[in-house]
Amino acid sequence: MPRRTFRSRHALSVGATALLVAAGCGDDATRPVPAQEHDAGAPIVDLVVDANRNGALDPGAPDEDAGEDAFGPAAGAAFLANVDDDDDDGVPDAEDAVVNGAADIADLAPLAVRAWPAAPDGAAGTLAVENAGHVRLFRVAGPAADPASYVEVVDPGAVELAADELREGVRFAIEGREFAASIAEGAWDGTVRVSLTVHRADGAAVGADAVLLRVAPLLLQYNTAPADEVYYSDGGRFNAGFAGGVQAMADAAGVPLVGLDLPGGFRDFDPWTQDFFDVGYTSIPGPGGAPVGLHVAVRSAQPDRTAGRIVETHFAGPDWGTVFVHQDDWSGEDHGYSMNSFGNWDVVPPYGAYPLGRNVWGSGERAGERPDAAFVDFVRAQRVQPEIVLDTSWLLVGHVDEVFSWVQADGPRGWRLLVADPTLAREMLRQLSELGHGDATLFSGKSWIDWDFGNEYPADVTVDEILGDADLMAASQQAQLRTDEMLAELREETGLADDEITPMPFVYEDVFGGLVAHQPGTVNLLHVNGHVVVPDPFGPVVEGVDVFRKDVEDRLGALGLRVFFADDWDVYHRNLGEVHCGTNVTRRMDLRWWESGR
Amino acid sequence: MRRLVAMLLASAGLSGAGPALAQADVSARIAEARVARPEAFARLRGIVDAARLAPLERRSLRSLAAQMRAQGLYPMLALLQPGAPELAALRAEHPRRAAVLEGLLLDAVGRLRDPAASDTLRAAVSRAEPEVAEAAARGVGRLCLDDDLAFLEANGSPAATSGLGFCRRPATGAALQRRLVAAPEGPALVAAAQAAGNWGSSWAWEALGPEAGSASLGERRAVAQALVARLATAPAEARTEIVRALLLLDLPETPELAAPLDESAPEAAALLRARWNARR
Repeated sequence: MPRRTFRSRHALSVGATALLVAAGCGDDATRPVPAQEHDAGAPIVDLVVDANRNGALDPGAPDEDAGEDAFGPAAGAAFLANVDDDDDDGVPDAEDAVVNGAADIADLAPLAVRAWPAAPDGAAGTLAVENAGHVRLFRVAGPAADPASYVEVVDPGAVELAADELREGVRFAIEGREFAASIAEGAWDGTVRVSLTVHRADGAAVGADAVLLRVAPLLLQYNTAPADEVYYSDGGRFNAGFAGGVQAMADAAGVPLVGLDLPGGFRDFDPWTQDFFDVGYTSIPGPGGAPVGLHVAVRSAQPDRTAGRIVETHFAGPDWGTVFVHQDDWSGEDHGYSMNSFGNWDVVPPYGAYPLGRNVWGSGERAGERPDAAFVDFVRAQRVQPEIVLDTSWLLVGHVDEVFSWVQADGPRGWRLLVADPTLAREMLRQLSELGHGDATLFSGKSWIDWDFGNEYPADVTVDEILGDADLMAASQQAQLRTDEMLAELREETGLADDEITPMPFVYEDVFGGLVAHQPGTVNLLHVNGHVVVPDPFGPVVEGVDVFRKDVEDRLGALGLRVFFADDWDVYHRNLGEVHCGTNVTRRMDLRWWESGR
Repeated sequence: MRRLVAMLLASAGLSGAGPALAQADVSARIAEARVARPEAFARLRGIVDAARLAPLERRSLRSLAAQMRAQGLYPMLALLQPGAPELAALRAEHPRRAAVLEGLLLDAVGRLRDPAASDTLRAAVSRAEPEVAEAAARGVGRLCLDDDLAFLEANGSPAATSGLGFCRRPATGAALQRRLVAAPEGPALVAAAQAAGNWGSSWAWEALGPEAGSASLGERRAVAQALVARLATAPAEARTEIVRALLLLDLPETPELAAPLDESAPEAAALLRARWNARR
């Protein structure tokens, strides 16, 4: 059985308050849900939700009514999985039976029984929520802006309404207790259906209505989305040099860099900030239809990874929820365990028929070479960022970010793909050799290590030594071949043209039967609002110029990016990762997912 | 610099080419090293002890391998001797972890290309744990002396086949051809194709220099022919590996070699042609 934990944190969102006020749930507790224009003689049996997505309930409005019983690109109501913790009490808002302050009201979706002023004595109604276990229903019994007005409905499966309530109308608010988490047959698809039936005193049916609401999906973020905050694991002096490189980029981009104080302290120090958590966003239409919602820190499906608890220790709270989904049955020894790291989970930025982008992750054919099945199921269940799965089993670490990256660029898509390119690296080295620079040194002053014991040995190697290393060349050729296969699949899925792809040169090596960047893998960079921080390649220096560094500057600079370098050699590159692996970002993903048609 | 380091290590008695040693001699060298460099043994024991406490993170493997290699051949061989208590204890507690650690040790030993490790490496090629057997076979392949080549050819396991891919001598081509012809469909054929691609890598032969490239050309052509011959009837997984191998060999005459497939196995021919035309 998969294990799922949804927890929380949030700060301010005013959307649902506005919704409720607009729906007639304002500070006047006695104000009815308006009947609006209606034939005074005809019964009114009407459930109202924000189906037209304008951030307000519009009782009787044709577009509110017409789109209420389905969810599609043009109409349909949504609600949030209220996994944040607006009152910062350590309990996710959806896990308790109260509304946790004004900010929490904003996380609730409104629902109303429209007033039937002429309802006769003895008339009665029943409101019923299907799949009620996935949601919490509140009755709004006072001013909508007052959290105390919200009273949990104990049994949303059968809410009896008396005649005077039908006359006045009744206001409710709904929150999700969880995200849709599986696409398996019989699993909850994320929707709840709410029905209303009304009958007269003699039992004769008056009418019925039904609405459908869908829980908002969790969007995973893509590398070209605007960044709000950048993170790295704060290891003090241990990775201060690296942090300095990232800081320079962050300063130029005007985005704060936060050194995360990891749980577990230095003993469990985990420099792979990209890997042990990811950030997502979930939203519903707010005032004017603009997305309002909350961020979600997602813990990697690696239960023994202490640093993953950062989602609780740093992020959980107001406006921030958490998600932790994994199989009960997992093995830290499998290659698939490494594939659960979020360096292996990326998102192709929006294009064409995919306005929210597409999840892309690496996997393998054999058992033990696939990411956690429960987490994969969870991601698929969000439905709005259809996946592309690529074979990364040939990589020792096995992450898509060892091969691909995305940066903003001019052009119809607004972004470009960067791709690892050992062929280009070899060509550059060969040209240097042919020009008489075969003795130029790469990795000058750097060392390979064992940093547990402090034994280091020089990494310096000449251009000709690399070109003459048959194992290194065989590994690089194989890496090119497998990268070509991945790229072909990605191009088939996305329609990327040659001029939308930028090669990033570095050679690979074989470590214990798997391939990994031998030169710093410059494709594994961090993109923040048109700025990039790239691993310093420590390439051969000819006439005072690091040829590989200059190449990266020219290559990315030509795309309009501001290029910064970070020395990630000691802590990251030597341990099979680079800049992207060692950083993370909160990005703005307030996209109108509900218009995506998925 | 790498060559210089290898020379320095060799001169320090830590590695380097030399004659194959009898087991008694290996034991004696281990005993000498234990006296001369006790800290190296302690460090390796420390690595094993750490593995008893936590799984080996994949990102730590290069570093771990570097640490192991830096301790020198005989301290590593000491841990790999039958009955060595350190690995035995880890094996009893965490068999998968022990297999990865032992594989790493064998991989590190193999990269030293020291014939003194030959017996240890060969003994491990038949082990059931894939990480152990494959690392040992890679090591034997890297040694690549006549006896090593003969050993790998005589051992029919997929691990031994993969080891052939690391023995980049022209003579290995004949062994690979025979393996390609004889391999039953399934993992054996997949392993043979992978080994052929690794051995035949055009980039690797160019790295070895024009003389080696020329000397091996006939064998590489013959291996390409053997690959094409199996392509016609190979099941999907093996077919993928065969095409990859042909792309790695990257012989200009590959389209002509594959031409007969247009009639006998048009689907396979189309797959190869598409990949060939799309190659960089």
